[in-house]
Amino acid sequence: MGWLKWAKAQWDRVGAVVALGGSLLALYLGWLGVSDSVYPAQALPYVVSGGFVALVLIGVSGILWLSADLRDEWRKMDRLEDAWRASSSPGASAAAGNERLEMVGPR
Amino acid sequence: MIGPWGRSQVGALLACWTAGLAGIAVGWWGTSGRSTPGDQAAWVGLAAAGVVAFGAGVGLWVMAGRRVLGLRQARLFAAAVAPVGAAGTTKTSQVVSGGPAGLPVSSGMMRYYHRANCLLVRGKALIPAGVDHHRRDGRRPCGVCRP
Repeated sequence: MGWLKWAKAQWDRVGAVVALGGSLLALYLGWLGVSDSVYPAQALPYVVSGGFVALVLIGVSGILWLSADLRDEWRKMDRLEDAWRASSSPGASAAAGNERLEMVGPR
Repeated sequence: MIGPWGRSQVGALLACWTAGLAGIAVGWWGTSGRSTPGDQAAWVGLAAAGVVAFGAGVGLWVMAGRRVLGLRQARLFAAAVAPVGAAGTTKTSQVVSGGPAGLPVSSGMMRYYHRANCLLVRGKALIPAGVDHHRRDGRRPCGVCRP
């Protein structure tokens, strides 16, 4: 049960590991197809479906893991900003919550 | 969405991924229906272009996230260490003097006092003093390092 709770909280990192596993599976299936092929023309579709899909899944894995890291940093910035607001103007922190400093880039 | 991404980044990522997956799918379909490698070359190239488009989406997503996060970090830290009166403020890069017995530090222009090792005062020229002294000068404790 504790493991499920952890997996739910860390869904992006769990997804990254699953995508990495999927990429290895796609690579293996592609290799099986290529090794059973007699002609190069017969093997190329397996290269595309196995090899290229494996590359895509590695990309998905990477983006999920890096996004999780960036979200962690984002939440840490939220906590820092809340602490700063609370110490600079107690009582006004809740009202100022809508004007976070995060609004700095193109949204 | 929690995180440094806005709608434009999500849209760009989805566009790159859709184009990439479509390229790979069409490339696979094209290679499957041809009998010679010469006929398949263009379709393989299309699938490779799909992988590149997909990877571009990944790269843009991560770069956008890092950029927005860095900007927010810079703004927050600049706001947190902003002096009361900007006039006459000097931006020094002197090493913080820790002070005797871990006394909290600040400078004449600051609204808060900090621990000597607080990230928000790193690299600033500061004076250690007792808590009473800081309070008498109208300063409050830093909410980050909680001196």
